[in-house]
Amino acid sequence: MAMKTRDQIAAIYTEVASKEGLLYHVAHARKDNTDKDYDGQQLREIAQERVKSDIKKLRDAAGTFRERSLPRP
Amino acid sequence: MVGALFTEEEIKGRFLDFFEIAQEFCECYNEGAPTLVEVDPALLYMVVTATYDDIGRYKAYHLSDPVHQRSNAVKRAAYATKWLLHFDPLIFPQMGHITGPTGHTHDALANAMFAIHFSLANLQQFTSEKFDLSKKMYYDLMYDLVFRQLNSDALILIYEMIADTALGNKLIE
Repeated sequence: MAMKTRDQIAAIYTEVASKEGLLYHVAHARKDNTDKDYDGQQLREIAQERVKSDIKKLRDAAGTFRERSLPRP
Repeated sequence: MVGALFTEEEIKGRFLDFFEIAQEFCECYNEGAPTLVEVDPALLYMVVTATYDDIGRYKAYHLSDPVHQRSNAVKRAAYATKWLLHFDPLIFPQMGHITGPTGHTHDALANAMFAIHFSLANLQQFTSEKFDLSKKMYYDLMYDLVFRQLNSDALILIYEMIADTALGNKLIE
């Protein structure tokens, strides 16, 4: 393979980094998932509301470990 | 940059909220339990600061205006899960090697259970939908949090999928 000169590599850069192509935008993609302001009081209330039910369901589901274990002989 | 996104006062507020939620979890968890769980403040502090460092880095990279825009609660759930499982801030002081009882059924799972509870509360707040997971999903999540290495990117995707399902958004067409 012939070695490329720095000028040739610069030309390649111009090609791959063209804003006309999708590649440029793939390289700069972001996941802009935003939300409203943090509301700690509401979060605490929700957690308090569901904590007993979550613990009960988690303990119930934890019983599955017994069903799925493969004890060593 | 990250430091500028969350002030000391904000981190303190998040720590207070987190501590109250963890404390409430322990209260309920301890009902009828032979070994009592409690919150280790130092480990919880590590969880909170590491979680908001991660959120700050996420915001700095992904948001066009990271100072004023708020990342959603899915990130809070995912990064908190990552660090809760790393630092295990729910502890069992009575499980000392000499005097404490040993081998109670759920104790090895307490931090994973709390991480799931904290995450579901955040996802409920995010979606404004009250929902529970199926028994299989609770088990699968617990298993993976305890035995597998779900990195924070995987956790964000899993929690987004749960939130989308709660909102009735189709994941497959």
